[in-house]
Amino acid sequence: MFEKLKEKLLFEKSGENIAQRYIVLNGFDGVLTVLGITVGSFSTQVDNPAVVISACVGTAVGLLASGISGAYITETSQRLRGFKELRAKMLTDMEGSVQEKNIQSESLVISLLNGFSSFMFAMLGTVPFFLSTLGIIPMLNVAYYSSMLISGILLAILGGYLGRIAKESIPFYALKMVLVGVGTAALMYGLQLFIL
Amino acid sequence: MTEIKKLILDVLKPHDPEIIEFTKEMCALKSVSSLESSVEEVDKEVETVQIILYGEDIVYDEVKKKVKELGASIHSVDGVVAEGDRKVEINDQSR
Repeated sequence: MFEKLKEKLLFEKSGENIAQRYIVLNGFDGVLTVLGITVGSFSTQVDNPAVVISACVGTAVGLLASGISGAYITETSQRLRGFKELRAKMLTDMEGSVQEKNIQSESLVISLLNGFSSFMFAMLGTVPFFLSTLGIIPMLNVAYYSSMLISGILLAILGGYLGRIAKESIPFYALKMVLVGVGTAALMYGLQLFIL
Repeated sequence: MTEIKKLILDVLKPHDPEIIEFTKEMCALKSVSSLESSVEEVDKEVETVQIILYGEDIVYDEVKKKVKELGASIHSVDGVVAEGDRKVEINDQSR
């Protein structure tokens, strides 16, 4: 059953790769959210890494919860509608069929992927601040720069991966993603200057 | 005891599972030794498939249950080949 589910999620007939789409989309969300927090904290000179960690982890947990619940409800309702349409065509109740069972299992896998991809990517950007609290990165500024660098690298990886999917230039796609990150950071920095 | 050796069914099934997967699943039934399937008609979301099952003693209830589990439904039983215990001696006197 797991093999079939995996096959379905990775190579759907329509050509869509559900797992791939959710991981990239939410990974992007996670990275940019933490980048926003990091730049915001950096520009306001937050000098306690625990404060940054708390903000980042809180946001990551929020992304996890909203990712899982949002995707589960959306996917279940979408699949249920599709199932009802199919049932009308089949003129049977289709009770206990694989199609009926798949509604729950597929929605659950997709929602977990959705939630955990944004959570994991968000947490990766927080690692330097954890290292800072442990004394491995003694200077907080270095933790800030490292976090921003990690975000940039993650965006480049996600962009490169999208480039590979599209069979286009990997560096070009990676650069495009990094530029989105730079734009987000610049916007955040500018807003902070304007607000404060 | 009469044993069903061949069964021809007209089945309406969704596009998913595809015909290959559907055939494999049906063929995995204990009482089925081999199976032939062909798509007769394709609609937007469903398709009509003719399946011919071969076996030593095909259990129709088992077949029906599996078809339902795969989200399909049997439209009609178009042909059956059964074999009983009695041996029939054919005296061909026309020779």
